[in-house]
Amino acid sequence: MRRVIAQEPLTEPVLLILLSLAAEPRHGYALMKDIEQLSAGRVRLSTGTLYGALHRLLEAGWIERFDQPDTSRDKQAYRLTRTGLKSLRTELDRMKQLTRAAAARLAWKEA
Amino acid sequence: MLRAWRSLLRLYPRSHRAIYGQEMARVFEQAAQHARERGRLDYVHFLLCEIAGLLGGSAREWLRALAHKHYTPQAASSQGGALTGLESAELRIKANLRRMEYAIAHHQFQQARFFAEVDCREREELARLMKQHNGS
Repeated sequence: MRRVIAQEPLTEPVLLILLSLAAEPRHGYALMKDIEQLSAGRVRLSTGTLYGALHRLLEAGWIERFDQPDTSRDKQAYRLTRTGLKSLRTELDRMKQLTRAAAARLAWKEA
Repeated sequence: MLRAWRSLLRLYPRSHRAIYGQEMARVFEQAAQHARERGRLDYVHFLLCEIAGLLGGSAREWLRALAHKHYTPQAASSQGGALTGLESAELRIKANLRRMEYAIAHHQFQQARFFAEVDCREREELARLMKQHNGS
């Protein structure tokens, strides 16, 4: 029997990091800038928050570190793993289902 | 300003600083430069957020480090849906090995030695967990 591991809803910083890396691998500062753009300026992650989330994602195996060509020692890049992509898709499915249910509920209320 | 920020970085556990310290400093410098270009108010807001981020982040890392120290299989299985202790320990070992390989490849021998010590401790912990798991 396949073991199903329930996934807790992702926090916003984690979701935004995974979304950013889904497009392409990035290093720390590029992640910060892309997340600001993705959220239309609403979310600006501090260095502490960013690296806390990156640490958790590395430990969980959802992202991995690697060397970008011509990169200095302190400019490691990150990319999504297959597990990370799967977790991102699971979260997006959950959000889509919730959005559909919310829209249906509000339409019913307005009717 | 970078010096003041680096002193706050010391609030983090040594393991976290060893892995991410230089990278975090680099990112902070770039972000600070960008915030300065946006204007004084933005720069002050940026600094306040950074300080709050470091204080909160360091507290979370210490809690995580303490939680690993006091881990029990019973607590892990009661969380339901979370990784088991064995899975978690295996992931930590894999992640640490990658860091060690990276450090060796880049001649960061002090860091590599640190990761080797962490590897020893994590493997002892894994052996203990496996013994407990097989015994239960």
